[in-house]
Amino acid sequence: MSIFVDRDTKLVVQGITGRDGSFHTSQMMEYGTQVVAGVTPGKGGQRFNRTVPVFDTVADAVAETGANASVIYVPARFASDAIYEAADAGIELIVCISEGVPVLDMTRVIPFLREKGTRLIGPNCPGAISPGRSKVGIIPGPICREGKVGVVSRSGTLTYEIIHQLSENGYGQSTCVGIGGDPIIGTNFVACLAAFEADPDTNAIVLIGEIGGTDEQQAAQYVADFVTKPVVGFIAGQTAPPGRRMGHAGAIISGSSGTAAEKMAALELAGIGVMKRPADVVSLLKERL
Amino acid sequence: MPDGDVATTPDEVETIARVMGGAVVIKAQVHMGGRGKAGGVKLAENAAEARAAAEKILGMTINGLTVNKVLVAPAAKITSESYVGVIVDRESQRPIIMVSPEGGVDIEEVAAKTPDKIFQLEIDPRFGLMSYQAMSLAFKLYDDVKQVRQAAVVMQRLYQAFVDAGGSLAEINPLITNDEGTVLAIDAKISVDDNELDRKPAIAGLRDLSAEVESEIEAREAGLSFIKLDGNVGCCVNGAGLAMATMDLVKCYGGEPANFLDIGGSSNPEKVVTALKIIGADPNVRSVLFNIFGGITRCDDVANGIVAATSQTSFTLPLVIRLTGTNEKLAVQILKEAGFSALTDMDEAVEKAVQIAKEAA
Repeated sequence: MSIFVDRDTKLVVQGITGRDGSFHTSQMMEYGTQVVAGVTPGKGGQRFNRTVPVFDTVADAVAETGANASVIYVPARFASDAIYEAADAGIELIVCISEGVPVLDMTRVIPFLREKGTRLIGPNCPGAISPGRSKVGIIPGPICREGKVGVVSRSGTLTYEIIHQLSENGYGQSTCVGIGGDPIIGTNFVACLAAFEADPDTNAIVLIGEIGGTDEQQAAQYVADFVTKPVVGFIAGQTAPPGRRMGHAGAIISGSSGTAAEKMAALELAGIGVMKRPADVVSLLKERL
Repeated sequence: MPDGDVATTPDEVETIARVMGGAVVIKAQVHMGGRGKAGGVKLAENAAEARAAAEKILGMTINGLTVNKVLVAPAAKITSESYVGVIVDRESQRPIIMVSPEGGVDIEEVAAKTPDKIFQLEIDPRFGLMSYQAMSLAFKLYDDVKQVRQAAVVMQRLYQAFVDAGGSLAEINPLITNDEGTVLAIDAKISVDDNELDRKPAIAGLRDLSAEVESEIEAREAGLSFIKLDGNVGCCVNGAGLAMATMDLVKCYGGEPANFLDIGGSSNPEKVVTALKIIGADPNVRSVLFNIFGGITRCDDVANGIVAATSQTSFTLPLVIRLTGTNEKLAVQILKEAGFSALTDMDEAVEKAVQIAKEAA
């Protein structure tokens, strides 16, 4: 088992003929993901890599191939439209990789998806991978190993760093989810924690947060109330100055709120093992398993 | 909103004040809050006083920004001051409008000390701020229904301006009533979401580059995300989260990071060259730490960038290079041929970079 993506994930790639879209589609197919369709308006009827059929609309792709998940690689200014289109076509899981989606667009996207019952991961995220089964997004396959640790993170390369530490030390992963670095995202820490808690093949959870917002504090409260599996956590940005966006649009300390110190304190209070350095993930997991 | 005119010299201010007649207020025009506290807003009873006030304000610095422009507006006889603000709330994932009868002061202080004096409601962005909603908030500010209606219109217009500009924050502080009982917006500011600038060129054109650190402008133009800090260990990392974690690790090993720098996801040797140029121009920097986790970023591209940057320019700072992941072996080979060694362990690299910076300080 795993969460969100698995062997039965049938993927449509929105923006499949673009530079990023085509590169990562090949990578996903190489990994074993069932890529059943691509969408680029005006290129319907073509085939990607001589195998994957390309459609003009997501609705056509779903009707012809039964796709149940989509991944979005379109430029940020078209991303919200791509999300609406996928949800409207009945897609259950949308993963939006695009970075730079205006936050006001997201305030309108979220209630639309809620009404449709669609799950969105991202935007501005690396996607999800269930090692050995399926990968949707851009997380490098070779660093992952099959196993029982669930990983959830607001970051990209920092997640790879921690996955790498886990894999090198014999801790494979059930699923790794990058939820994205924007202030408004579709799937938050709490939703991932609930899914990992319910997944019989996950026996420990690694949570990687950063400065800005209160998602980590809510996650800590959720762990204290509902999670029985061991959880270890890391918060990036202890040395970040207040009022500055640290790369991610959501990574900003406003006034005195959203600091790494307050988040680390919240994690600790909830009984979560707090890493001082990314390398601590292994020793902390070992203590708890 | 009262009429006003912008001026750049004390002469212009005096002329404007004379034409307006009566008392005026002179306000510094900078892209920064807290200007009242900094002495950037002054009241003048006549044109001569206006000139004197302008002489003080023009050229002063507010939070590091030089004042080049002032607004001259008729001074209102204020009988009450309120606050109105719109923000994007991360928790509810919606815009929120907030009002308080405690205006004219720092609203964060009001929120901390007397949270019961702040009233707010969530806006469904598909419908906008509806009249009845704005009225319900305006009743928290005024008893006179005429003032309530005026304030509700101001709130709806503020929300519309917020949406039109692609705002992350829009506020009026203070919203006043004058001695004639009229509701007026005396001061307003708006912060725009960076992600909107591509599709809003008119707003992007308002960017005041003099308000920004030069190295940060250069970095942005090169597609790098860079923030200058005060330490002496330069950091060059791919990915924002890893960049923050690297800075934290520098601190953990007893050093101070000189910057935040994310070279981004796609590999491009040119970006590395620009990054090293920017870091190298900071006189505080004693060592430069590369921390690259290759995924989409190819380690060999970064290695080529390092070799190009160090051979092109008079780059003499000691480098500590850690790279792992995509095309790592090729990268190590490229670096070796140019006389550099590379590490694969993040902790080892950070510790070494901190140590070199300490010895050179």
